[in-house]
Amino acid sequence: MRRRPLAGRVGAALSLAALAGVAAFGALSFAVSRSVYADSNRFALAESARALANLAPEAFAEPALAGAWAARAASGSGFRLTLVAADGQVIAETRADAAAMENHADRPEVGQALAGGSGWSTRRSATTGVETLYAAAPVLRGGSVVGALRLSFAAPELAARLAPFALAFLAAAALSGAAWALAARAVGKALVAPVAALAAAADDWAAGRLSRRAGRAGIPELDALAGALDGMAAELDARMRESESRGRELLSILDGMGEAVLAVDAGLRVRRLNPAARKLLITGSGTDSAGRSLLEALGSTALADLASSCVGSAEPMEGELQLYRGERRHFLVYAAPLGAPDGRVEGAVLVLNDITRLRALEQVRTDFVANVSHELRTPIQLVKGFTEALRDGAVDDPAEARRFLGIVSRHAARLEAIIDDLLSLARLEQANGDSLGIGRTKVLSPIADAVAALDSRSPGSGSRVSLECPEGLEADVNPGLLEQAALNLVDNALKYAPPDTKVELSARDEGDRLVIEVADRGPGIPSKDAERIFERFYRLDRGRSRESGGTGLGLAIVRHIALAHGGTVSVRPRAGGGSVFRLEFPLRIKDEEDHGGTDEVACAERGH
Amino acid sequence: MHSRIQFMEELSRLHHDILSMGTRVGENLAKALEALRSGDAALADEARAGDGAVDAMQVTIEDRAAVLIATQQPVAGDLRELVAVFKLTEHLERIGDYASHLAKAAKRLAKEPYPRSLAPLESMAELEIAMIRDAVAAFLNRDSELARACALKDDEVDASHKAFLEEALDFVRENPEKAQQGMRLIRASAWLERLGDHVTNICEAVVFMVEGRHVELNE
Repeated sequence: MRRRPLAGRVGAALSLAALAGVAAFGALSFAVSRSVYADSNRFALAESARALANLAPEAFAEPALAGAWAARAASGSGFRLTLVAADGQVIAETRADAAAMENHADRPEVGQALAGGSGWSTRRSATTGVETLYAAAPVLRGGSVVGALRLSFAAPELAARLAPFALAFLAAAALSGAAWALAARAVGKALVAPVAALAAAADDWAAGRLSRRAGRAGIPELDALAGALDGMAAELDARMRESESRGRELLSILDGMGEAVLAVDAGLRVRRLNPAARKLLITGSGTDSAGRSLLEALGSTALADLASSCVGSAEPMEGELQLYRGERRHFLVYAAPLGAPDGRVEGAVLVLNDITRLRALEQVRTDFVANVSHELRTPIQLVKGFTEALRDGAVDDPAEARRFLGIVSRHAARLEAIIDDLLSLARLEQANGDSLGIGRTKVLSPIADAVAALDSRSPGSGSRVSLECPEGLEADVNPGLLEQAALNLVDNALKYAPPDTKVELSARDEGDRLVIEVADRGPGIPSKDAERIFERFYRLDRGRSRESGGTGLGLAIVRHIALAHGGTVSVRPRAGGGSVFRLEFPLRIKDEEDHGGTDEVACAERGH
Repeated sequence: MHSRIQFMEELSRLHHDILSMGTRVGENLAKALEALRSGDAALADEARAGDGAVDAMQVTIEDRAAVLIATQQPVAGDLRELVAVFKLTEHLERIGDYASHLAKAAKRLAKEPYPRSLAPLESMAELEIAMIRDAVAAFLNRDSELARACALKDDEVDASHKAFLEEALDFVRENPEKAQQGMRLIRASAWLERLGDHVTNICEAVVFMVEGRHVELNE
């Protein structure tokens, strides 16, 4: 069944009521006017009959003249006139032959007139065959009734007279009915339109256009409703905006976080992740990350286990794990259960904090502490051991005593060297450009000095070094530090390379960089150690390098000298075996041009 | 109808366990590789200890698959899938063993560094970590195309193996006193080469499961 709209229903009901009213009123007034009209006709007919009856005795006095009298009396009028004798015999008739007519004493109006009153009747005429209005009056002569005079009038003529009125009534009824219907429709619409407007507003709100306001119809009840709805929409709008902006805030916090954040559902499928987490995803054949299983997306059983026990226990969890993405990376992971309002656990939020660098630094620090205590303890133990041996009697054997004292003195010197190097390192670490004493320096002289110093320390070693450096090469450096760096690198190379091989020391400029390289034919440095050999006390092969007399700090000092000059040091394998150590300094330090070169002595002094 | 739903549920649990096992094997290989690079003996031990979990997973998965075959009496595709599960776990277990061997070699190498490049060995392992992942993904997603693409990568593994072999033989010729170290490295390389073959076998099992025919992806 089809539902008709409210406007239509109201309009239809109002139009029907209006039409019924107009029809009833029309019918009633038509009936009333018709009956008034008929009454006045009858009255007029009866009065006319009575008036004519006063003149009629002369017709009855002379029956031969009755027909002529009747014709004269009725001439010019629409009436039909009949004269009836006291016995009911028709003596004159204007529309028919009186002699042919039957006795009229049984006609009601005639009967009443002959009885002395006036009478009327409406019926179909036997003479003319049409609906006819009759009125009769007695004809008196000398106080006695001698007959009756009857006037009649055909009713169809009456109906014909009334027809225009009826048409006018019908037209008026139709017009007013149509007007009513239109008015009712308009009223219906006017009633329903504000409701429809409210509905449209509600639709807009549902579609998210909450800033829209419901219109006012000017109907107090509806306006109150519209006002209430507007208030509700405004409140909703404000709350939505607030929650949206809070959501945006949270998202930008998440996006800006260095920690990787992932949300997983109870089935451990990834639902959401921030950019930092996206970087940890396993790439390759796997498709989109959202909806992928955590295990597949990050490839860590430890992480999946942590997330699963967090979801299972609804408790926050914490753990450490490693991910392998070409290299090993350490993560501190926090897992917090994601709860639904009804207390069910819907999943978990995982926050992965990359602590790889922290781990590496920790490693360097622990190694340093272990190494420094080891490196310092060894000579002290020896000094202690040999002095005790001397005290316990060896002092009495001069040859033995001399040998022991030699050992004690060598290790004391070694201790001093270590402490000196540690202090140099500490000073270099604190140094900045100004205190360093950097100035325009010819590169050749400090590096030649380094070779000479080595040769004087262990004669003959200088001839193993080939030096290559353009005469005019200049750079902004501290010459004392440059000499020490070159010395440490060459010393290192001489120690590890086979005695019959050459160590090549070269300096040149490459663009805006000063490059110093030391190439040897030693055993080479495994790539996994290439970074770590510049750490303090880091040794490739513990026993051997200590035998060779190094402090274990030489390369660390080189690195710090490079850093202090804004440069770098690195090592790479040499083609055909061996290693190449490479120092890179900037050729020019712009800020230093004004005031550099004045106090270079300060640091150069403690070069060695 | 009810038993069909139960079957699917059991299968999905099985899938989860297989993904878990595959991930664990991949992780162990990654750990062994990292131990090889860094000389971290503790990490090498961790990788070897992880292999025990892999073996336990194989038993669990196979038991469950056997129960499914016995109680649900699967036919056609379902049966092929369960048969493939057995092949998959068997090969994954072998791959786990090779990863464990590599970890052991890494530990030895930490004590006695090899002066030449281990890059071919590292790239083999790197490639195989991705291959294991792809092979397991191909099984879980019933993706025979991925399986074929994955098996193709085994050629790169073989090429790396050959390159490393020549390099290592050269090293032994020049340093006869280091022959033992050379032999150990050659063996490690051969393990990695075999490992690749097992991944290829998993890929073949996936193609059989999806397409119902036996293929030889190892040319």
